Amino acid sequence: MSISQPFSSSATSKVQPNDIPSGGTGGINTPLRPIKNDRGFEFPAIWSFPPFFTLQPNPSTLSHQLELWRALTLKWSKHHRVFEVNIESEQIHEVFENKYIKRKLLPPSMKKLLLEMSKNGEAAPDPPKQDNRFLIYWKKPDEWGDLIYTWIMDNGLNSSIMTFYEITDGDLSHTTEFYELPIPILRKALESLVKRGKAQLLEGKGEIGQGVRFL
Amino acid sequence: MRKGPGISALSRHTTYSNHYNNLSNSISSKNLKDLTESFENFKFLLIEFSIKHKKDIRSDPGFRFQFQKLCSILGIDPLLSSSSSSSSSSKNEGVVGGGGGIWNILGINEFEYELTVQLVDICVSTRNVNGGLISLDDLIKRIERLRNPQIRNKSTSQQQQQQQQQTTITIEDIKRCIKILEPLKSGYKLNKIGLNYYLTSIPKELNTDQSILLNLASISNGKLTKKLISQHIKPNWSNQRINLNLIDCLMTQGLAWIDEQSITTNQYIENDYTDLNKDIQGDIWIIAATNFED
Repeated sequence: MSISQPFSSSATSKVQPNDIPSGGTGGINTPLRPIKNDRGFEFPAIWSFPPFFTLQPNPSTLSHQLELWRALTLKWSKHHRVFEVNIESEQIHEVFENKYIKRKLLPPSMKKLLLEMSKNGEAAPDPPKQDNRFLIYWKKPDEWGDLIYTWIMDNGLNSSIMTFYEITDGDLSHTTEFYELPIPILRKALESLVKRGKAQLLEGKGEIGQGVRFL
Repeated sequence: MRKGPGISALSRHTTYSNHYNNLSNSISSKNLKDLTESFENFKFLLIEFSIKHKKDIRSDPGFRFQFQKLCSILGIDPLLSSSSSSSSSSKNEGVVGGGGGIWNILGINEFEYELTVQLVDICVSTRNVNGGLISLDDLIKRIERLRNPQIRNKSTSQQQQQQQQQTTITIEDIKRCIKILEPLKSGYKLNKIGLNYYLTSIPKELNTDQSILLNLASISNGKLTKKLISQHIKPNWSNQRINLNLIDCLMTQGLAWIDEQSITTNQYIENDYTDLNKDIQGDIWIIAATNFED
């Protein structure tokens, strides 16, 4: 009995040869394996399951599928420090496309996923009221706020006024987790601190002049 | 002894029968005592045996199965209390303890119930993915991972391999779990399809067509295409029959996932398949028959 191969694989430089899922030479029942990329991120075995990239028509299957996608997207973004996803971008993020099985999450599916994540506070459209560009909250703005606040206190910077740039790109913040945090997320993080009475925003003229004082 | 007539014969008869009675009483009480003694002895030996081989019974599925067979031949239900007789000697009482039966002494009571709970846990938690159909291999793999989280680390140190060996779960164990679940009427059932076993965890019967598809899927790593079906299922199914069965697996049963990009890679299709006359666009994967290694 001969059955066509479940996969055709194409090698690219990103994956070590040992990690390529069952290609042309393996047996028919070769299991789907997790794949590790060159930056040490391990994609789960379901990522090599071709239907994973088609949103499922059965509602209960779909809800579970979206749950898996949400978790994977967050984990991957955190590992690679990805803060933003643009659905219309030509450059598709690695997580949304599995080249070895030639499957990708198509833009309408990606949109559905990101809207689902937004509902759960794991992403947010930015700018608001559109559904193509999203911020990914692998840490919630509150958590970023706490992290920044602790860092400010630890470094005795609470008396001085800081610019947004100094916080995310300054010499002092090179080693912090919020290094190169995009301004929209930083703004939301600081707003959460303002709400809790821990900071005060000082509006300047345009993006450059914005500053903050921690209380 | 002369059998005489008269009144004295009557009284003699009474005396005889009294003597006989006494004798028979003493004999039967001696028998009973012997029996009780040997029963106690047997029980003690059985318990001693099970304690001595506790490790084997717990860890070796073949041994466990034989021990269970032995118990069932003897009419002993290892789950029931064996210390109900109050006459059990104080020596045994310490061992029998709260009276949870032989299994309890071995911790097998625990073993089976624990296994059953783990089985249900896995069936329920994967139901959204596989529609309540799971292959026996996958089930056992997941149970073992649940019991031994360190297997996940894929370390091959000898100690861990040993540990892995110790908790080998067999189909017999799974069958007993299903028996335990039977009174709950929750529909757990083991189905043999081709050479493989699948457990269904919601009350449903796999119909003949589905069994045929599942059998085919189990040799194609879960993937079913119309072409594959028409090539391998004889006599040939009509296109409508194929389509209807695939839609049923996908929509009604939730056993299957669809891969629409097998046909068009770049075009998004929004199909809901609630209309049964709709033609399936893409490959169908029976997830219970797909082998994942994670």
